[in-house]
Amino acid sequence: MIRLLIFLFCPFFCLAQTQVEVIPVWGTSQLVKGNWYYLESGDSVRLTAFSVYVGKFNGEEAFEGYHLLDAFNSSSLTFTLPVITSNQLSFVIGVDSLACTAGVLEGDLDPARGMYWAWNTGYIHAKMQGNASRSKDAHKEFEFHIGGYLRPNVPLQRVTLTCGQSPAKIVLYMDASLWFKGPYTIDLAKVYHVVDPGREALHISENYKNMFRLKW
Amino acid sequence: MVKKRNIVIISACLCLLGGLGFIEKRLARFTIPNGWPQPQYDFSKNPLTDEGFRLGRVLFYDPILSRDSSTSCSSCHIQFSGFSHGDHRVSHGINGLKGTRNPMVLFNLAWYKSFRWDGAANHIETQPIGPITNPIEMDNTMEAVVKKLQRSARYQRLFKEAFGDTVVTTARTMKAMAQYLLCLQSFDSKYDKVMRKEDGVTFTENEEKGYRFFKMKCANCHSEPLFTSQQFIDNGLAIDTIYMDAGRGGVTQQPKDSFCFRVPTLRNIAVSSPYMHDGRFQSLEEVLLHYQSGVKVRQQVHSSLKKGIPMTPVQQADLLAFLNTLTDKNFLYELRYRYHLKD
Repeated sequence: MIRLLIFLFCPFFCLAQTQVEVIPVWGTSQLVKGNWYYLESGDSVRLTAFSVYVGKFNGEEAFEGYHLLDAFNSSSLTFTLPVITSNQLSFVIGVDSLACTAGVLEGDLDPARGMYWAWNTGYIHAKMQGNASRSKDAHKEFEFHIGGYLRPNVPLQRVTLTCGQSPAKIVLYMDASLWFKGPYTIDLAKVYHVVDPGREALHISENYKNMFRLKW
Repeated sequence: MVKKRNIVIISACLCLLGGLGFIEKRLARFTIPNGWPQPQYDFSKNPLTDEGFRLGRVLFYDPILSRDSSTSCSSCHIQFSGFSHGDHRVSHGINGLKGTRNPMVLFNLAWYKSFRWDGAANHIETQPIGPITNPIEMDNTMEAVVKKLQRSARYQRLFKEAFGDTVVTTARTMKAMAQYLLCLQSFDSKYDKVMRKEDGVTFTENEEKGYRFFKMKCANCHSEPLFTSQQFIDNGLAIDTIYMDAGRGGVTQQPKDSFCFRVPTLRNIAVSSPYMHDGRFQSLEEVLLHYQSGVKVRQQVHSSLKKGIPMTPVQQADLLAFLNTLTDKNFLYELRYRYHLKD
């Protein structure tokens, strides 16, 4: 009897929310911290930090709807959304100006999470750090902290993907390699230290706008 | 009849005393003075409480916020100089490292749209994260601050009093500090008393002439009642080639904002030397001399300053007399803003 009840009601419980799992990849392979990956431009890179804010899923404006994805911390890579009634999954990469100017916030937007810019208040939308073989930095490091909420340097990017109707679970692949190519090819010998809002940050965001996909 | 009158008088006195007692006890006081605009800050999201104010006050004076527990907010923001750093051109932080800018005064902050000389901080709740995490100021992380506070029995008590339980979070820490900062209000200078027509206080002849000159030549940017328009302008200072501080331009990345800095308030100006964003002028006389004949003309220099502000020695003296009426001793020596050991 209990089994029957569970069987009958389970779909309702499952439907109330959509589970999202994010899997960080480099092209078609799983992304591993510290592994070297090759770029078509002849450079090779390895990542030591890769964190991304996503939020405003299907128009949800609440600050609680932002999630900080840390590619190297699996517990940050699953979250739930209110059930998706259409076959569209839309969200932003980054943190909008409303949240950037709202004062001190909590949860994933807690300024203690390492994604808050204090010298120019507001959030880092997405962060990637590591080493690049051709970086001119003394330690061959590169550092991309992409952010900004003042026009014209606003790298907030909106993503729209087509998923199945009302899926119980969505797996999102987050491809780190797409930070370096796309509309702009990033030459790490020249661009390896982007830590303030501006043109370079915008270009990188135009690239990583395409980093989420639904299929491996 | 006489008895009845006595009772009325006694009860009136008691009410008055009771009222005074109540006012005395309230730490977290915030007033919108008559004729002032509505504040920028939304108090509904952080309702003022005495307990919140007290926690904020302890935090403001506590070097625990810095990495090596050496430097507090009050190291560079000292009450008797309007919460600026008297006699220091630029602030110095941890390990004696020097910054590049003069610490700003702290009062009437609820009306500010942004903070710092370049407006890089957009909210009073997050502004202190700047100095707390700056490597040359307090060189800490918010994560470490929260951990340090959570380990302290004193802060567990203070957080419980302010927020109902002992849990320390970034949001609670910053909101409590904001409560203290928002209550730092200065509107009781001689100028204010004259404007309020209080107790027959009037300007002297010099002060009155200085005020008239001020309204003609200075109030465009230093607009009343805050004595700042909150604009960022280039006031024609010779560019410091060592710091090469682009000011607002560093925030907006727009060439038109290069070398533009916040118009600072003139309240308590006589006690908050040195002056300008880099503290280059020691005295108000030097400041007036700059506006009279020192303005370097560049494209973005504010239109009202391109020809300088001509003034005779008498006008200068009058203006200085007026500027001195902006000192608010009640604010500078207000007890509830000070550090209290028993907090």
